[in-house]
Amino acid sequence: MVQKRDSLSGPTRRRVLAAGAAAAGGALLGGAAPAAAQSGADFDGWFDDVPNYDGVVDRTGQSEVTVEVGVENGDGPYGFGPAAVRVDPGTTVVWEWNGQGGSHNVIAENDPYSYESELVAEAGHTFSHTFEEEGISKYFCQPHRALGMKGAIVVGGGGGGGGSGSVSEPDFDGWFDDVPNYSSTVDERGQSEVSVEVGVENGDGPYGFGPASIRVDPGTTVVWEWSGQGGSHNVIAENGPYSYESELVAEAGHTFSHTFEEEGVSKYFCQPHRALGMKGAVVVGDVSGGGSSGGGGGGEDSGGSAGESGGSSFVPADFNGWFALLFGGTIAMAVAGVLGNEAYIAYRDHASAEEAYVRDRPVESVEEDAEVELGEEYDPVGTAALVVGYFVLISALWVFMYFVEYIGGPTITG
Amino acid sequence: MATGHPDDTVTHSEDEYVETEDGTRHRSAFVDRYPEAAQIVRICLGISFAAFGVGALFGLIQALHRTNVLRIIPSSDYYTLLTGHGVLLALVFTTFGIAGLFQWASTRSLGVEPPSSTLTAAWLGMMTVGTLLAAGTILAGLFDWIPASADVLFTFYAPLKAHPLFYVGAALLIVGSWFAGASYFLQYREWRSEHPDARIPLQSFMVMTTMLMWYISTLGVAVEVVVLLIPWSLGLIQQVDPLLTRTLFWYFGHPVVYFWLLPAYVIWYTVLPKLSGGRLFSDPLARVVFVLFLILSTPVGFHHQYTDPGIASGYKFVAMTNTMFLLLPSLLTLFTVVASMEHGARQRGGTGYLGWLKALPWEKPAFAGIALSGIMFAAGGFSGMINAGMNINYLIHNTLWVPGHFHLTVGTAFALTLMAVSYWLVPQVTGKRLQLYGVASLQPYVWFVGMVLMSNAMHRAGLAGIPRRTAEPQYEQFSFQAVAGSVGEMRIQIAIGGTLLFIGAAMFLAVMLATWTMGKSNSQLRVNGFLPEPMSGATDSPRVLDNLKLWAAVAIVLVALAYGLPLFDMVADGVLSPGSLPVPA
Amino acid sequence: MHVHRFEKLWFGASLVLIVAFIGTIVYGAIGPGVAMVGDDGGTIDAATVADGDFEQTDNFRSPGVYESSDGEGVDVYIVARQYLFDPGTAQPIEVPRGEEVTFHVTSADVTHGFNLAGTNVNTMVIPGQIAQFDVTFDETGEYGIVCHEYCGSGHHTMAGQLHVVPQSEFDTTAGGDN
Repeated sequence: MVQKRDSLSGPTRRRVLAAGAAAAGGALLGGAAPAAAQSGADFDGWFDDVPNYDGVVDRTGQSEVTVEVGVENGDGPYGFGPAAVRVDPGTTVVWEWNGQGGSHNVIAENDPYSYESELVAEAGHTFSHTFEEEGISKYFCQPHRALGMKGAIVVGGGGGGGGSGSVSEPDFDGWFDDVPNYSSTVDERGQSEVSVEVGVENGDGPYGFGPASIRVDPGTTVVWEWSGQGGSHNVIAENGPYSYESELVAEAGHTFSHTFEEEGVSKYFCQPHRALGMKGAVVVGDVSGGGSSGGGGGGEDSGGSAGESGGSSFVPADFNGWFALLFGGTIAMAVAGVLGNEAYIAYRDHASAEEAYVRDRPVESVEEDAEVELGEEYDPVGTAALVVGYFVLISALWVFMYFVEYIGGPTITG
Repeated sequence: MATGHPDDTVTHSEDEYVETEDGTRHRSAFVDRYPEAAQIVRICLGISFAAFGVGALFGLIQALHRTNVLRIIPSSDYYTLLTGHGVLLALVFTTFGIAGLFQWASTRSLGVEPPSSTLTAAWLGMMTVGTLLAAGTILAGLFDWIPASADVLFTFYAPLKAHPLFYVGAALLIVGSWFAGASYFLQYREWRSEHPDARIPLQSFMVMTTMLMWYISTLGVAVEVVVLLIPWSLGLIQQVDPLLTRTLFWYFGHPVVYFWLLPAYVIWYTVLPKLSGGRLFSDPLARVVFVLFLILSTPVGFHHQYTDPGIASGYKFVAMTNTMFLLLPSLLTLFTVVASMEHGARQRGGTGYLGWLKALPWEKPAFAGIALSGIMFAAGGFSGMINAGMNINYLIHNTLWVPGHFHLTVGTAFALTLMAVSYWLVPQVTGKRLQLYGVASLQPYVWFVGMVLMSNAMHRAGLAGIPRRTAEPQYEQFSFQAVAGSVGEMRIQIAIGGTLLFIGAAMFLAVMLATWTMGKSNSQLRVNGFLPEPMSGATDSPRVLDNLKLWAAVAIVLVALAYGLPLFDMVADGVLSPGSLPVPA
Repeated sequence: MHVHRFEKLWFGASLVLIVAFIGTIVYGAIGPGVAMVGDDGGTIDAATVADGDFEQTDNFRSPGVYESSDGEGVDVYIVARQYLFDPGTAQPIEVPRGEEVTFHVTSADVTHGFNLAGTNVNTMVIPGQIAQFDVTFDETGEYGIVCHEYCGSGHHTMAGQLHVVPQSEFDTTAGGDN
């Protein structure tokens, strides 16, 4: 836990300074700038809490690349080594467990990549995945994510659109507020055809597009590919000047394409699952927005680190906060102490009062005698009155329900 | 006080009495006379109440969530909690509570301890393991990192598919209860060997008829779960027929409510008269009522499927007439039980056509709870009549009216009776005086008021068409038209009522916990466990009533008549077809 | 067996009540002609419904509103699936006032419900079965369609609309063939 706090305060400070220096609105995402400057790839703050990250190691030109699982990472064997590697498309990455650090797994963080290993502790265990698509695949070890056990595979030379020509996140006007799997706009420029998967995990079920938001050049054809998960989906354009609508289909392998000529932002959604957050966007061209709603895009990552800094928000930031906590806490403890003591005394006194009832075996009380002994012949007139009243009430309610409520509106007649 | 009867229906021997230090004679408590049975009752009630606490908490969260008053969970988790609420309350709280009550009733009326500690350990173990498996898989649905979930609700309709261990757990719970029943029958057999000509003691009679009904009715769900759903959830068979599995569930799903109701009737018939200060009005009528339930409870399951496609209207009509006749034993119960209370009230000095009601001991928690639950049941009975009404059922099917109805019946007639009788029974099986007595006296009223608020609003909301089993019944496309009152006011009543119910549940659990921890064993209790003779005794009824084999056979024939043809129709085109692939939930 | 005369009277009254209930229900079936959902709809393969391969079936058609083949009234074919009604959710179902509307409802995946909120038009939608029933709407108006049977995590989003329009304004939404 201490280690976690340490790894927070450093990057947080660094990030705030960097944001100030970059002078972008939406302070938290400013961390992307220094991270991008380090590697030529944009990890959006992914490695801010990963001590053993040391730039992107070039492993291109090999068909199989090994990453070790359980290497020293600041404060313990909770790291991947190397943390970030660059490989050619079509390379198979093999993760090898070294037996250190307890149980680890490897889980893909972002689309379009999807892989998940078993949770294993033993040395020698391996897990592999072949990376076909160009882009950046971030991944993490679940039990040790908070300790900084994260990595990334950069597939292809282009990396993720960082460095020069980087464009900031467009303004989606809250479109992605209820879309958990949206993290930022994936740069897919430089391709004539781009794929988006339909029916990827999105928080609570396979009701998402992967990636949720992509940036393409004008003239690119986007091909949506159904994964077969999540029942029937469709793709419907939300705003002009874009207009496209696919069929409502469930099967895996179904595709729908649309070529985007005009520059702009095309939001789209899947109708039956719109309310579950199945929404996406295609950003055509160099459209960018103000930094403040970039915070909306960075919301996911800063959501990740904000989760951690959320932990630190329980620690007061200033003198007033500390004073209130200590003063209030002392009062609360004093009150609790007094109440507790009172309760204990009451319990103890009560316990001795209860003692008065103890015999050498459990016995019942003596029955009360009846005031009036009724004979065997007894006419329950009161009961008769009550059941007659009940009969009348039920009959009236039935008649009302049947003839007024029921026979009135539209009814099935055949 | 000791009354000897020629048929030995009451064993009221002098050695039940002991002399205490101050020279008075007191009856020794149940735990002293039957320590093994008392321990079984304690274990069963303990598990039952623990499940009740968790289920009640979920209920509060649900009530506040769907009325949009307070949302602390995502709506998808609502269904996980709803499954937990249904299973923990309608299956675990009930079955364990009933097992405890029946163990007490059977032992007390027959005067014999449970026959075999191995058998007892077996059924308690099975039921507990089953509960843990089912509850575990349900709660696992709240955590993403556990690869198990059972968001299928209490009815677990296919093709929604839960984790296999959920079905295994449910099956173990049911099969465990079968063995519990065997234990009660063995106690009876031991008693019978010493009393070859006597009439069956009333409580034992009621326990056995209820268990016979239970055996006949659980057959349907056992077949559904063991033969179809477990292999299907394990992937051994690809598809099941959703209509068939649903029908097998409701074959069980109606009689299960009588499995919950009849133990409440046991208390109303045998304990409530004594708490009122009187005697049971008629033993023979009580036997008639229980026989009627044995034969009529199961052949009515289609009244839960009135709106189902694939089932011919004729079968639904037969189910309707059977269900309407099933009103008869409850209406008879109404008379007999109220007449017994009136007897007690008049023996306490009450007079007048209705004035005698004031003479009843409303300040005593056990009496108040049982009497209030009876009043609520009379209201719940009416909404049940509407549910049974075949075509009029279409007005309210699957709307909030239905939970409004069953919170009055299982939620009050059963639950409040169990809570109230616990105030009387738990001291007798622990030897400890009831603690927090003031809280206990108030609790039934808190429950009653909470239920009145919540249930009346649910009934009216159902008439407006607001659906049940829905995390957020507010839709963009349209709004609901209230028949009486407004939708907003109904939501507030449900939220307040639900909160009061939770407070009532917490009060009850506090009393039980305090009694367990602060009460001293071997105390002189506030309560007295003696049950007086009925006014019209067992010997006043024909012997044929005691012929349980005959009535069981009649029940089986009626079930075959009601379900034979419809089930044949469903399996004629294939047991597993028209089939559906599983949809994990 | 000794039964108090009050109780005998009550026994008789209870039987009268029960028979009266059954009587009103039977009257409802005969007089106003209310009916139940039965097995007339037949069965269908749920996978076929999910794929939308309706040419293969002889008792279901592509979702939509059609003129009845006998010229009287309309037929509405509805598919319920997680989490929408087709038609109904994307666009409201339009039916004419005063004519007999025959609904055919089935499911592509799990058990759903179909209820015009606040009315007696209420059915379960079970995969493999087709729920077939007739309704004649006497007045124009708009009704909400609710799925009232739990069908998965998005169950509370599943709803639609049905509009009853004057006959002059009515137009089928689907053609004559599949």
